[in-house]
Amino acid sequence: MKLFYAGDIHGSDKCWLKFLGAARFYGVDTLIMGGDITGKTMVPIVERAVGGYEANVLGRHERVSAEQVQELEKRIRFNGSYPYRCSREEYQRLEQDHMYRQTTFTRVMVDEVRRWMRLAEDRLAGSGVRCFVMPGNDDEFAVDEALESTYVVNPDDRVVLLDDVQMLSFSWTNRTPWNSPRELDESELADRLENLAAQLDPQLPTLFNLHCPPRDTQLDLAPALTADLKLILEGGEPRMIHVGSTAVRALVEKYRPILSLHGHIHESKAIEKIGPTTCVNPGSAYSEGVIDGALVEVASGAVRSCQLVTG
Amino acid sequence: MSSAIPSAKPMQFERQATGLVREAGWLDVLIYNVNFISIGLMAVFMFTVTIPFYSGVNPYLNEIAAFLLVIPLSLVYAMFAAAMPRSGGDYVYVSRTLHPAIGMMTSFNNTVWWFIYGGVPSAFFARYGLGPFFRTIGRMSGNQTLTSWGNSLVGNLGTLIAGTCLILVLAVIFSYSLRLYFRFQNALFILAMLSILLSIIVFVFESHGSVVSAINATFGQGSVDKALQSSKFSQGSFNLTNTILPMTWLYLELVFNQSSAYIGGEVKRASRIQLWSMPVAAIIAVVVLIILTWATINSVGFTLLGALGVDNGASLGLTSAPLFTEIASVATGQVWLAVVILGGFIFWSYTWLPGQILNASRNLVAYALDGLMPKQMRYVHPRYHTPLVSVWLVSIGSIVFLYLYIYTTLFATLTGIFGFILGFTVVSIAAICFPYRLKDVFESSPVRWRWFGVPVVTLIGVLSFIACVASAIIFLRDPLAGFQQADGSPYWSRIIYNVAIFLSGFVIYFIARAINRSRGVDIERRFASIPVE
Repeated sequence: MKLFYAGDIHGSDKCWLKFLGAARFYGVDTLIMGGDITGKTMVPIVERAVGGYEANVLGRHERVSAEQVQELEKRIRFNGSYPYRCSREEYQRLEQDHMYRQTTFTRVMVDEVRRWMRLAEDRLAGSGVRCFVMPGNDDEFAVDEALESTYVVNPDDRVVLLDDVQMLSFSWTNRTPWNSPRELDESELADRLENLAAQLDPQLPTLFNLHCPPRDTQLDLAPALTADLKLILEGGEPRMIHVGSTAVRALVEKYRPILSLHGHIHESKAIEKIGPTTCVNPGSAYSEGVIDGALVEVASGAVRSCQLVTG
Repeated sequence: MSSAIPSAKPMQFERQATGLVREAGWLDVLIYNVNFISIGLMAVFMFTVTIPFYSGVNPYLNEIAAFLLVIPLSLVYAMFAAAMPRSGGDYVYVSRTLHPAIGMMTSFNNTVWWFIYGGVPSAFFARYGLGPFFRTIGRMSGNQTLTSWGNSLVGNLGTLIAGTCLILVLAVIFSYSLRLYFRFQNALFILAMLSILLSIIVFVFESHGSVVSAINATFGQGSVDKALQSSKFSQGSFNLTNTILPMTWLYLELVFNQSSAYIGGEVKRASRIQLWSMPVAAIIAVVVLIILTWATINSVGFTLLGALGVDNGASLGLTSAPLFTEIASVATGQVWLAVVILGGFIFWSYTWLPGQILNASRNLVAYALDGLMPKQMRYVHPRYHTPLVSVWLVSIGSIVFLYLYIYTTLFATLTGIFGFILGFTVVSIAAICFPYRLKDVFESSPVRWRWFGVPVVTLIGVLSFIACVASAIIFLRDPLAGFQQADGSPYWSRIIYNVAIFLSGFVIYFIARAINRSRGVDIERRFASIPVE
């Protein structure tokens, strides 16, 4: 089995198209998207009374004509944000009505994921490529339903079989300062993972697909933050701290899978061994239109090669 | 989801999601860049090299010329850092914009020079840091032992021992914890700036006469006259060539004002700090240097500074020319003030070294991760989580180059800067091409500015390219930059190894590709962009 693993593309249209193109480009038979597929920002493109539109893109106020609005939407999507065309009246409601804003954001997000699934069907139909797409801690629950399609399998919170290898997948992480949708305390995370691991067949080689990286590795280093989410620098360098999960690490150490795929921490691109397990976090630079991934070849129940790539 | 208040201009809405952080404080980023410039060493070279050995130099014009040559490159890095905030560094900029092999060439060139330059600041540690500290405190306090230590440290063996110890201490610290070092970094920077500030204050308030008296009182009556007579130094009439050529000695420090390009981060808004902190760091450094230059010349005098430099400390009983901090310390007449001034200055003497070791070792880890170097180089200690192999490789390499720097003529202080300029030239070309080669990245970036329809980053890239070529020519023509022999003929060996080091990364890329291919791994695909259909 040859697989391409990536994660944390956060709404980037270009990264999704690259992910789908990775199967043919790298000659792999399995695609795994390890979570955090949805964007973090919605950019209202507001109709102007005098014609045309205006929007705030990356902190800059931009005005475009009706002919230029599609180009503007494309640029917004490139950075992983969601463009949303609306009237001035609707924009004001979005500003003032928290619930309406939240509902609209979720609707836009789910619509976009559905569009991605249609793209996957177009690109993968008849290719024989297996495609697994799992949500991550940043993805709202409404997204799960949209992930199910003919050619895409959401493997989250279960064990699935890939030829002669079993894959255990889990989207939740330990606590973060952002209080994202899928976070658990370490003890609860450990319980959930143990229950899931009980489904494993001890006779089969195992592959973990856990969004959260194991604690105290090169895969889980992130910048330390102040209470108001500001980078802490020491001597000008960001102070890096380990933020991975102890429960995930314990699971890897106990079940000793041949491969453990992780994401979540974009800055921590690394390959590291925990016992016999090859742990991988390909990192992410989605906002620059490139997809960081890992190419892995598994044969005879072992990892034959593991290479980080930037596509 | 973020709360909002009604506004005239539309805003974007964020939801609860990990990774959205605020930018680092502007002061932190600014300190980081100023720290890498080393204002202290700029001043040392101004007073001990430029003024004594470039007859007719106008120091102020020289400082402004260096600034003007550096600023386009700063802007190139600033704009790249704003456009690709997650992946700081020229390795990525050049790889993505031009070609991975060219990116490797540029990056490896820098890495090799960081190895080699590990030998330079570690030598400066003794020559400009510890040595002057002990010899001057010794003279001022009448402690002969301290004076003797100071003179020994400035000598070859003392320089080698002190530099080796410094590298080993840093390697041990970096093997154990990076945080340990950075915890002290800001405090040391403040002490170093205090040293500069006190020197300026001393020179503003001390007259030429009192400085001369203080030097004579400390180093022996008549020592100033002796230095003036033996050096036969005269200021000379204004000379434009000699004002431009020593720009090399300032370029050495000023060009590293773009170090914060390596600080990535997913910020809530486009990075504005990166855009202004790099040029502002250069402005601050040059303004402080101009003030210090004015105060020092005003107090010590141009002729005396030149004479002390040419005399190389002989008339004062020293084994090298006195630094401006030593003159300021002597002028105060207070040992405790001298301890603060000279003690704080020790930090300036080696300020690049930790960053060099870290950057070079991180690059080695990155190459190993990319399959371009043996995988052993990416080894990380299981307990301390530090890249042990690469840190020690760089550190041992730095000790070897420290020895070569002290005891051989293989390379001189400035020769490697020519190598860095070759790399900067490639980054400038990448900036010129950026809007055309990575059109969507450019169009989606916060620097998609145009001037008369031409991308501003392209225009800045052109300016930077011209500045780099001009700098390279100046380096080759400067008689003290190490590329000309005493008879004025080119030092071909130094030119050749600069070019060879520059091209070595390109060769390594293709060797690594062949080795990997024999193992069934195609490293071309490591960097190849997946086409979007």
